[in-house]
Amino acid sequence: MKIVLFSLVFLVVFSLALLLFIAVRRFLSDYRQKRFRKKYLEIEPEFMEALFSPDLEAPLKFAQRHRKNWKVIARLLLDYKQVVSGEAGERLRKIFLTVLKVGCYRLLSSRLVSRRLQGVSLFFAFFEPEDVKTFQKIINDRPVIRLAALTVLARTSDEKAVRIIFQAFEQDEVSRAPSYFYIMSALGEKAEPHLREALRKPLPPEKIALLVELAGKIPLRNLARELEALADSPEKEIRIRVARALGRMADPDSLRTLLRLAADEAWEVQAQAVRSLSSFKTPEALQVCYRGLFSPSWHVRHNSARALAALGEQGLEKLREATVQNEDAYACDMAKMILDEMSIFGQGEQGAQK
Amino acid sequence: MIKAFVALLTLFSAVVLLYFFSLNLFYVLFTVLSLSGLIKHQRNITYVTFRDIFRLPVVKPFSVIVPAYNEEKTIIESVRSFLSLEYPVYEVIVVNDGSKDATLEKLIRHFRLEKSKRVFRRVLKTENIRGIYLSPDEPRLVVVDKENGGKADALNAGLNVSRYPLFCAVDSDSLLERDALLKMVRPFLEDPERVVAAGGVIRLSNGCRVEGGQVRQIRLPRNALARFQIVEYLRAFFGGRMGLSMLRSLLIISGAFGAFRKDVVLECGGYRRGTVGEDVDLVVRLVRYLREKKRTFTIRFVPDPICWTEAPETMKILSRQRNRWHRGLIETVAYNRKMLFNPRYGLTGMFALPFYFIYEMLGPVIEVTGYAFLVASALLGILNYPFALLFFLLAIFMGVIVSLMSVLISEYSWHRYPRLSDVLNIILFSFLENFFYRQYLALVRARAFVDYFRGVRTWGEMTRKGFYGVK
Repeated sequence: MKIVLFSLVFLVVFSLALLLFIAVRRFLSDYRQKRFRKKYLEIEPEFMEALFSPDLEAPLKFAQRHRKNWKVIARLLLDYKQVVSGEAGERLRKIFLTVLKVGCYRLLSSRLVSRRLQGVSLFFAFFEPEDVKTFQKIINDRPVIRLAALTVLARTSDEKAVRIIFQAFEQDEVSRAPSYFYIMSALGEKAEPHLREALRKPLPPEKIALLVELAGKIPLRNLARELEALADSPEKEIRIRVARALGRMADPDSLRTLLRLAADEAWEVQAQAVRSLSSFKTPEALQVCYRGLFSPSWHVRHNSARALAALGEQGLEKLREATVQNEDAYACDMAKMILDEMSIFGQGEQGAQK
Repeated sequence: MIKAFVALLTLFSAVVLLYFFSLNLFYVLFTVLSLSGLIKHQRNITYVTFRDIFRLPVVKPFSVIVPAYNEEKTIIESVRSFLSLEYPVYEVIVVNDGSKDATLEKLIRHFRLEKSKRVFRRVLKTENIRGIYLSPDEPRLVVVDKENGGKADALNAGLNVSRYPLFCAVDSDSLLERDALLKMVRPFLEDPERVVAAGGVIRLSNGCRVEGGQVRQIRLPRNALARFQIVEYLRAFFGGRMGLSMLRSLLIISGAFGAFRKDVVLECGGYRRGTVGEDVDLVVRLVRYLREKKRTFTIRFVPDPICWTEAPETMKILSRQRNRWHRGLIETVAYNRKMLFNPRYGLTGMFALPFYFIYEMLGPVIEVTGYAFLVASALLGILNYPFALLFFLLAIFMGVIVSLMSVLISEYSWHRYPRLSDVLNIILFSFLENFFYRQYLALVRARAFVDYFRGVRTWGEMTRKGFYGVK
């Protein structure tokens, strides 16, 4: 009985403490938010004046005056970075260097992950090439910090930065590889030599598949031959990506490879290859897509029909031909469906090429 | 006679005490795990801007499957919400499961649907499909009109018609947050080979203002019954599922909002027709199938994608809903009884399913038996009143603590209630629920056993009120 009584007293006290904690926490966070908002609105007109006034010293004066409110200034800088450029953009950088840069370094060396992330997020907006060194130091930090830092590095035109990104991609775990895709896409054509080199390395298939996808996404047409060499990979996923990437590149010399992939043993590769053939308006592509309409795989029939619809008048003629033949009712239905969708939507291709 | 009853009562009290303490221990453990999981999740996504995910071409497209039966009041607003999602490539498949009201007519009129000649693979057996409609205004919308066959049958028909490798089953009386799919796809991106299913958070839209298919203002409903359910949902999603997911024991992915890999679901035969708990049934069968095939897999709970749904506001409809849910659980446990305490099924067989069996399925029976013993003891004059009162208070405060911890977790999460008074109201209702609501639901759920053994397989009519604030 005593134990039950003591337990009850403990539970009541604990419940009250929890309730108090929730209420106080909410009260404080609401209060802080309100105060922050008020300060933001108070400083904003001055901030805008500092950005657009003819006085060249205005940003510095503003920064010195409001050094204490660095959190509000950080928010203002990040908000305005999205909407201003040119001279005003330079002034934003000046304010950042005066008020926030030192604080940012302090945040980057903090023991708390969340604070280190805050530091990296500020550098997103105001990164300078000479800061590469700082970021190199945190490449070996936790994955989330590393990825954030690499995102910053991807915005520079520095050759070293590109190398660091590719090295990190090669060394990182396979499960995190998709996160690099966005980072490396931002590199554009700068990625080409490193991508060529990486494609020749014995990386896990998932990473190779991602690099192939990247080459198609940017697109890096000079890498078409390297991708064609991967069309014979034993990994189905790589062959699918090669088919997609070659379709995006639309290099006439890759047609032969795509035709070969359209006859691949895996229906997934065939489906992607016929879809990619819609970028090549040639009689061979037309013929292969028409043949695909009679495939036992629903996906191949579907993609072939869509590809024919995208191949213009000749493709549409082939679709009409399929609707009147009696050999294969499935091909007939698929052709009818695509023609019907076109009559409803007024176009052959719906959605992105997936 | 009284002596024997006293002995039985003593034994039962010991069992109930053990049951009560172990159950609350599990709940506290799940809640603590949830809190740590949520903090970890938030830290991980600090750097993910979901627009970045939007741009990734490796993101697989989704088919959103919406089974609808007599949903004329909410269907347009719901479909508008599904069509306004931020996601690179997706389709919305509304399956009209032989509705007797104007669900189909409303859809045809509102979206200017036209009957199409669309062909599809009949991978799963379903009731006859009467027609497939497409909209020139909304190319992503597909409406399937079929004969009535139940929710599982409608979902299977949607699966047959769907074109994409991932699918998301959504209730037609629900609204999805604009970025819900982008958030839901994260586990499938991070671990595409192993993740087979993921569940999101369900919140109640009662009292909230809805405009343009989105919840614009979060408010508590005036209806007390809906408030009790808000407390329950907070506890279930922020307290229970997150914790179970961290223990790799998540077996319930809500039918109102769950994402799955289509190939794996098709491999294990899709949804089981005729079942009333198709959501839990599918997940348990998935686990069973994958364990038997010795494949590595994982099922995740993602705490940030939100689906808003309407809770029943009358006792009659609420009791129908809970009776059905409990019958679904009994059906699933009975169908998969082979997995119970079977080490072949790993953690699911040794912990997750036994937990659902002992604490979720048998819980109401034990609770109702306890009340019956209490009344009988009082009548016989052998009840220890001070102990019974203390035990009752102890039970209340244990429940209140779990609810408070769930409220705390929701405070750390997204879409918290904006007013402090709302939070205090929720806490008040977590206290009040112990005085009638809890006992009533225990009775309803215990009644589900009777209905199950009588062979009741009906769904039970659900009347919708419609979203508040919809013009």
